[in-house]
Amino acid sequence: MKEEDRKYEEWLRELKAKQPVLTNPQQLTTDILQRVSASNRKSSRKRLYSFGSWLSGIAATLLLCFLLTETLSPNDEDSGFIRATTTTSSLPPNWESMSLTEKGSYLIAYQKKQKRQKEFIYNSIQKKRLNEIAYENK
Amino acid sequence: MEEKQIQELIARSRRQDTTAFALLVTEFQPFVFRVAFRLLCNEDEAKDMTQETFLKIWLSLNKYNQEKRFSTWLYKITCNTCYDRLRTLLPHHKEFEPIDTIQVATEDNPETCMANKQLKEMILQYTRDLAPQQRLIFILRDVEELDTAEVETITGLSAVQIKSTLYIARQKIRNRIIQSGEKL
Repeated sequence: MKEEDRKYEEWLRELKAKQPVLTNPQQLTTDILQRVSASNRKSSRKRLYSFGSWLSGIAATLLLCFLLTETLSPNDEDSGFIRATTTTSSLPPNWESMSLTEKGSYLIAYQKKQKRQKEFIYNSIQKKRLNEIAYENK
Repeated sequence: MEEKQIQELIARSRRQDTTAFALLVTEFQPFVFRVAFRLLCNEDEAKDMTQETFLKIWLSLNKYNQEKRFSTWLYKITCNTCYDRLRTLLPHHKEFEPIDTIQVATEDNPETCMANKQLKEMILQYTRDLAPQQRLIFILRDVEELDTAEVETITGLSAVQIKSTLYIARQKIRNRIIQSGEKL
């Protein structure tokens, strides 16, 4: 065995045999436990904070959804007007149960009626105007 | 303490039982301090790292795999903590201050202080040139006498890397021994 190998083995043997001495181990244990309890307090505070942010996140999302619904959907007055205009379109109450041919003939009749109404309104306006012109000429 | 008792204490500590954790600390504190001292060669640093290690253990108890030995997990956390510290210390060579320049701490027992100083001097005598990784592998394999498989688990290095690093570390130590012999 070489001289350095022998020295190496000797040194290593001595190193393994010698242990570092921990002075005041109780103090170290106390310090460790203090840090552990401090970290517990910190983590519980952190948990509370994350719960709070989680709650406020949900509240914000709900508020956003509510605002979007309010903005995008028609309000009650509008929907009432739409309902009124659609219901006043004089569809018969038995519309759903009517056959296609019945519906077709009803719509044609309705269209003719509307046309007549329009012609009547147009004729009345025209007659009124003619009367006005004749009155002015007099 | 038997492995069964240790596992029981860990299970209780997981349920935030600080009394059980205090027992674990008392049991393994000298072990962690010994490894930390051998790596850092500084009593105060070793104490700080012991604290740091147990805090990490407390915070990551749920990650511990009970199928593995607790001591291996403890080695892993201790070595990682000390290795990080060693890497930050090395550029400044803080841990390699000559023994004489270190101020004597307010120790109650001067004999203890002297014993630790002698041990530090003994480690640094030949390991001064070792890089952090070489020092870590050397301490684990040759001083702590762990097998390669356990060192693999602790360090995350492959068996080949461990063997080559250990070879270089031993070579450097032998060179130091030769140099010191020439000086004499």
